[in-house]
Amino acid sequence: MKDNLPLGILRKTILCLVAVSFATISWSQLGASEERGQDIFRKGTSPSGQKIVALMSGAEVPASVLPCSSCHGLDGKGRPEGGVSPSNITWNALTKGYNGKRSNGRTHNAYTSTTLKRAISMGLDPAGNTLNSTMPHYQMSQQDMQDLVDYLKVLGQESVPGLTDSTLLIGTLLRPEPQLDEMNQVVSEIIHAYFTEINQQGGIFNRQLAFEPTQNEPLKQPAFALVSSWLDQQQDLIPPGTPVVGGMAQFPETDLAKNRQLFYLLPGLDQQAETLGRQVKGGKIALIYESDTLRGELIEAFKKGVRTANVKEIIEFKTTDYPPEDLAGILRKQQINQVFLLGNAAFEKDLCDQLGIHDSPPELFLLGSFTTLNIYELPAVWQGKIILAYPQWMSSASDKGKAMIRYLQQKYNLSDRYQQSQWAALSGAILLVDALKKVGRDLSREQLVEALENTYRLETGLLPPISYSANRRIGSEQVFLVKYLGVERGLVLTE
Amino acid sequence: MQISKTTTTILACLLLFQMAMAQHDHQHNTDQNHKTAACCAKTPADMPTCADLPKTSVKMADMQIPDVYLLDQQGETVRFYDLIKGKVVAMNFIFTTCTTICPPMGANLTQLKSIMAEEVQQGDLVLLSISIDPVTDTPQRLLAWSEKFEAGPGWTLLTGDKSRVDELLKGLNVYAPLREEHAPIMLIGKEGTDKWIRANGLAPAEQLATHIRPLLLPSKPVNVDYTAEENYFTNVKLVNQYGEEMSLFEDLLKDKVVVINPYFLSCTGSCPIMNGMMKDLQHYFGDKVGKDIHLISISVDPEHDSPEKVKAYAESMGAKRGWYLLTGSRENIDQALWKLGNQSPRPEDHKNILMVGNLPTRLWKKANGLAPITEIVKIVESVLYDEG
Repeated sequence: MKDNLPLGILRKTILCLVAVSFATISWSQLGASEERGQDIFRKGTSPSGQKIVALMSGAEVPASVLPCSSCHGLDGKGRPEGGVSPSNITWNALTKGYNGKRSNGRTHNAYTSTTLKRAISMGLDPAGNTLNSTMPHYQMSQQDMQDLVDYLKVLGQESVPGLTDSTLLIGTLLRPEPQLDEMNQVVSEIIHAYFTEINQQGGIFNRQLAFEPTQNEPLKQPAFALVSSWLDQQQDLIPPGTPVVGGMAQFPETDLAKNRQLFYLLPGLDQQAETLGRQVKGGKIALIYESDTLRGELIEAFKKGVRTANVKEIIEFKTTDYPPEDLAGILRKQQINQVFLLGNAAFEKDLCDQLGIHDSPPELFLLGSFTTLNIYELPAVWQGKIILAYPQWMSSASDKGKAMIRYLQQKYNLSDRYQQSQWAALSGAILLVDALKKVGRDLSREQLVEALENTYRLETGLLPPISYSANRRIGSEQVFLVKYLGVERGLVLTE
Repeated sequence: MQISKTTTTILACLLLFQMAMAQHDHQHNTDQNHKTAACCAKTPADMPTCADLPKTSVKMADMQIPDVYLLDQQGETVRFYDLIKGKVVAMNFIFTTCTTICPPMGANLTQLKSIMAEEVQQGDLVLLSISIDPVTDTPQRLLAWSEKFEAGPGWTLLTGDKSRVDELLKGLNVYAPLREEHAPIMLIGKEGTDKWIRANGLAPAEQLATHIRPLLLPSKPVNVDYTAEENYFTNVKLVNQYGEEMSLFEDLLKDKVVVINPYFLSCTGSCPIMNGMMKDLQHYFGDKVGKDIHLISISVDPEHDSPEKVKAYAESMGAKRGWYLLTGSRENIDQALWKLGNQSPRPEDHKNILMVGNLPTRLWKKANGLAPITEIVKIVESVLYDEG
């Protein structure tokens, strides 16, 4: 039965797709020449590697500084700014044969391929009038020019992946580990349930949301955008240019140069480790870790948080160098009063048991969502001695948020397991729908990214408020610190 | 347990001690601030003088510039006033997520920088771009943005705390509440003077450079030794349209940039054209004529061109002081023309040549007096600004 679970999801998905997509989801591919032209239009560089130069009032700069799309917009309709109004350069607009004066005060016939090339390279309209001086003159090879003009003829008519007049396809990337199948299903179902609710209310600007999850393989057809509760290894499956709302990752890719499209809801492990490091107070601290790249980076992040002025000494121990009981002895002898632990499950358990033999064990710092140590099995002396960092906590959910998720779970008969993942997945879906609504009916991926970027303190009801900016890709930067107060009282949020 | 109690006591003592220290530090800091603020009232020897402290604001023409600390594209803290102090400055206002007008303005500034490479390199001309979206524009973003233009060093991009940057933008009268609505302005001027203008930042860089060059003019070389010039030109006496006698070197040439042409009143060929051109120059250079520039027209037919006739003619041409139409005795006129290399045996044979000279820097050029006015202006400006 368990093996069939992903299929179960797929079957549901297919049903849902059949239900909503009378208009077939299709996307017309650009021809080879048009695709090259699109590159030139958007980036100002030629796929052929040939140089393209922009000349503006005597200045000669690489065209990548002044690509067409900068001023005319990705849709070619023009983006007025600071008193400059770039023309609408969609083929429809260019080939209108008006008589008389146009809004820019010039009179000319409709453009043809030839006169358009002359406009691009020499700054003259079909009648030989000079174009506005802010329109650079571009020098490029004949082939590049032909490609660009070929693209300009279809600009504004290209179909957007995952988008039709009546549907909008959103995908989700499930976690690849087979043991997480149940969690994957829960996550898929809650997103699907939410989208179904939205569709029942009329969808988004008269488009129904279609939903397709995938695991370990690319989506069968490109989605307009993706939403995931967890995003790490699956990143390779993201088609270029697809906006993604990812819940969290061990190490979020926040380098905007590498990925402008990726939006995380929650802080990564590195940020959690750094926050833990900030909790270190006086005395000596031991950093105990298994030697691998991931843990090495987390140790560095933790150290970044430690205010060195406060600490007498930071000592590092590799778990491979000491058996747990020896290490416990060393820690006691050196009067270590704080420990940051990043071992494997068995080592962590043994060390804590050994340190727990004595009355006053050191204070222990753990990454709650990373450690596999079951603190409830530890000796009672550890009560009040363990601080854990989490990227999310129950306290951030409002009554309204909790009621909403309960409503969805009951109405669609969904599991209430894997709460944290469900919250992150649903929050991602809420964020995405919010941004889609902000853009409106006339939709492009770039506009969606812009709308996500302009999100400010969005209340999902489940996570802390979500904000992004041109420089920010982690929606909530809050790290929750909780203290272990024993088997009965459990974990309590610290002040 | 005994041990742990002792430890607790020690810890408690330590804690108290630390708290006491912290208190002390706090008080100390407060005192410091207090003293700094009171600096202007009394300045003991060991205190920084008021001159060392940032000015609260700097006045530039109609602008009141707050003296703010900002970040440059390298992430270094810079004081705005330090950047512009005593300098000729060209600054524009950009933001890195702006797509329509900012890249052209950046390209323009880059072009300006290459036109005026020497001045920029020597630190005479300061090129600044100030972000109008400091919240988004981190120093790294500004650096990445500027690198696209392949401009190299000599261009400072500024961002910083939003309230500080806004304060500065308001002081410069370029603040726009909506960044998309900011105007493509280039502010050009010289700190410490009232010479500030707002140019169109999208105008060709060559045109922007013409606004900058006059500001870069070296203040007049002091104590130029004119002995050689005086001995050569001599102080031969000529008579101007007001009937006043003028010495060739002392009154007409010394310390001035001069444009000299020959004419005679009964000439109907080239003279009206050349004098019309002098009229245009008088108009173009405005206040400079008389102060920095002398326009000098010398009659090659002094026998016929009496001071009275010249006066009437000068009035008909709208000549003002600074444009001198000269006549005089044949002997004196010939000497002057000979010294200027423009002597001719008959009036009709005079050359259609303009002499353009910068006395303090000793740069002289000849120009075809019948060339289009735009060409002549270029030559005169190149002599005026001593561009060689």
